[in-house]
Amino acid sequence: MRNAIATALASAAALLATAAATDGFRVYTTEAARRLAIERAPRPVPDATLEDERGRLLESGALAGRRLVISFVYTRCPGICRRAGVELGAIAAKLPAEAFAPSLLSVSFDPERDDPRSLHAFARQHGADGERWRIVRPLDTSQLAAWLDTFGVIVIPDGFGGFEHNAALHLVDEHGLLVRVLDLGASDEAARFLAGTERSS
Amino acid sequence: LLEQRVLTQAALQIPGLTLAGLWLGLSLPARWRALRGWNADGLPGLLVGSAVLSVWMLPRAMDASLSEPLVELAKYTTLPLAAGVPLGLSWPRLGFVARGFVWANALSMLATLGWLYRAAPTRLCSYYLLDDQRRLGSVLLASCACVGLIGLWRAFAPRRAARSGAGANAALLGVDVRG
Repeated sequence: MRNAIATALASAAALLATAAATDGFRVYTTEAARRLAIERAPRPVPDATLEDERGRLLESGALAGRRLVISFVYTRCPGICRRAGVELGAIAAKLPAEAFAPSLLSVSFDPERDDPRSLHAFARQHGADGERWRIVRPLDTSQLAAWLDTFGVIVIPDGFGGFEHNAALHLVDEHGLLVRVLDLGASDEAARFLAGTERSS
Repeated sequence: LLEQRVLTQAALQIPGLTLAGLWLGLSLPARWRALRGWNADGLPGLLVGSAVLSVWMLPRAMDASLSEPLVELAKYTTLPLAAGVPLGLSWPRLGFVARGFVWANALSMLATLGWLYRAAPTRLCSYYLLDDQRRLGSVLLASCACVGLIGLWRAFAPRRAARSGAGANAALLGVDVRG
């Protein structure tokens, strides 16, 4: 009898513990956890001063009132950032002519080495027009840290002078809230978000 | 140090902490194992221990133990005490079928995870490199082969008790049929 009760209790506890650890069997990785957390509770994007590939300064707070798609890169990146570059290019191609400038930001998380010259080279390589799509770096490292923290971007050195990081499309709505994170490849959905034909939250 | 690479966290640290608890559980006096009837057939302990172990094997939990000191502390205490010890207490009381189930599951889990980690195009842990993940996959496949060989050895190694088919099965499952 005791054994049967204990077995039932242990089964229930095991099920509950696993459900709690996976947000109800939905989330097994940190990446999935961050996406779910952002969708449940959109996060205000902290203010930062950004410098673009032409050396122009941009206050992120001044971008409120428009929707943005943001991805994180470093310009020497051989793999996933190229993918992200192609993806943002695909979104840019789908933007209507009257779209806000800027609507797309590629943000470097390696501002020390990514000076405006490297940003400019990256922009040319990927066809960023410098208006609707700009390549920027945060000037202040503590502001960069606050952005990475808010967006949930984890950057680790790969041991060969580069980095590995979780690359994705981050959707920021007109209230300055990070509302969704999409896989690279979801350029249609991101373009619809910018065009305002899809509810943001 | 063991957490700098996914390989060492998943293939050394987690099994090491669990085995330490398992050994502790096995070396406790035999009369404690049944826990006054609450663990008579060993199933409750097996359920608790394997649930705790599987939670710590989630990529999300492995990441969290790197970024949050409290989670790390929880890992260091619950893996030996809440996974290893219950498993150690329960194993000697588990019946024939339950032991076979554990063997089969351990093998299939190692094989599936190893294959998954080698084949996955993206990283499952945000704090670890893709190359490391692939290496972990190979190590898990290799350990699957080792565990399988140990199982075969225990089943078919020449032992006086293991002449009949039932004897071979008993040896595989660690049951002493000589008595």
